[in-house]
Amino acid sequence: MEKRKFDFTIGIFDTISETIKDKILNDSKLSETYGVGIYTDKYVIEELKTYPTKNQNERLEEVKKLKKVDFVFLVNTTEKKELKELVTKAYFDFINAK
Amino acid sequence: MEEENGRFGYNVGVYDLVCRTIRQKVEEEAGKEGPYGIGVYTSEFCEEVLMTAPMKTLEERMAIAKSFNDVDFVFSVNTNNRQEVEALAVKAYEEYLLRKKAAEEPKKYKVGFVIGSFDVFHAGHLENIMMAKEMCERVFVVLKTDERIFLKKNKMPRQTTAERAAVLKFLKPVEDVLYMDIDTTRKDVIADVLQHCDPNIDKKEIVAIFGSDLQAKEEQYIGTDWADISVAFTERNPEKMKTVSSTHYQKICDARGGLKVLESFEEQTIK
Repeated sequence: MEKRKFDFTIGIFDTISETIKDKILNDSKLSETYGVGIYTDKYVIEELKTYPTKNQNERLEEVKKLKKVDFVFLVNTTEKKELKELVTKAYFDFINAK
Repeated sequence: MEEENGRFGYNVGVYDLVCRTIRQKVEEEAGKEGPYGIGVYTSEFCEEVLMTAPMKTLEERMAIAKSFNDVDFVFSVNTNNRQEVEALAVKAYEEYLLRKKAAEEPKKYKVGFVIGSFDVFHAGHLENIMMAKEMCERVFVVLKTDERIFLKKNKMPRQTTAERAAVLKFLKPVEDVLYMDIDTTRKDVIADVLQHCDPNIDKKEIVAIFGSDLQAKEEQYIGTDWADISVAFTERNPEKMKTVSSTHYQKICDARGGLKVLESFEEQTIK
């Protein structure tokens, strides 16, 4: 089966369990490049109603270290159009930086 | 999110760690007209979709959500599909309306009482008192004194009779605190309760309420020491009692140097 050019997931990534690491490992197998979006502190507090123990930069750094994660980006929306723009920009920033 | 006809409002979240911003935002929404509910994402949803493992169980997080001012009901959510969330919210709202209606029905008993030591008051004690209040129009707490506890357990409680009574008297559902002294019998307890009742009250409208763990012990006194009053038993979850019990909290207090040490630590941190 042909792999997608890239795929991504979005989440809070405050406490990263083995379940979450396994999910990323499995999901990343379906694409050549895999990105992870991390919800901003503001979004996590105001929209998801929980206070992250690590700030967004710390969470970003933690996710960067995970296996099979090629690029990371901050997310502060669930609006489809805005999300598409964010993801596409992050992907092309990664490609251009390579 | 407010229904167009203003029936009820709700929001959905993780509710693992709460901060001032979250509390203010929720209470501002909840304080508007109409009943308000909070949907709490299940732990599985948090891990699989939101990509974070919550530190607290779903039950704990729902308790946090319920503790916010003006929140009337809580429900669990395992989806981010808008229609499915809405359906869950509507179902929870309807259950809330049923509970509200049941609460307005006349209570089964006119007067009820619970007996206990209430040493280091905790959520389990409160739950028992709330269950008693659901059954009875008026609730009394019969408090075992220091002397009685020492006689039965050969050790003093961590808090004095006066300290324990002060906490209980402050509780809204508790009408008054009566005392079970070293020489108080079951019949004495009935006599003390009757002093607070209408002299014409039917004794069957007075109920002694115990947890199911005491059923074997107290059942034998129905019709004898408990005379003509009713006796009721409320369910106690043995698994839950392992962590929500006086023994559990007292062990934690003792491991940290005792209640006075914990209280002085709390005073220092508040300063």
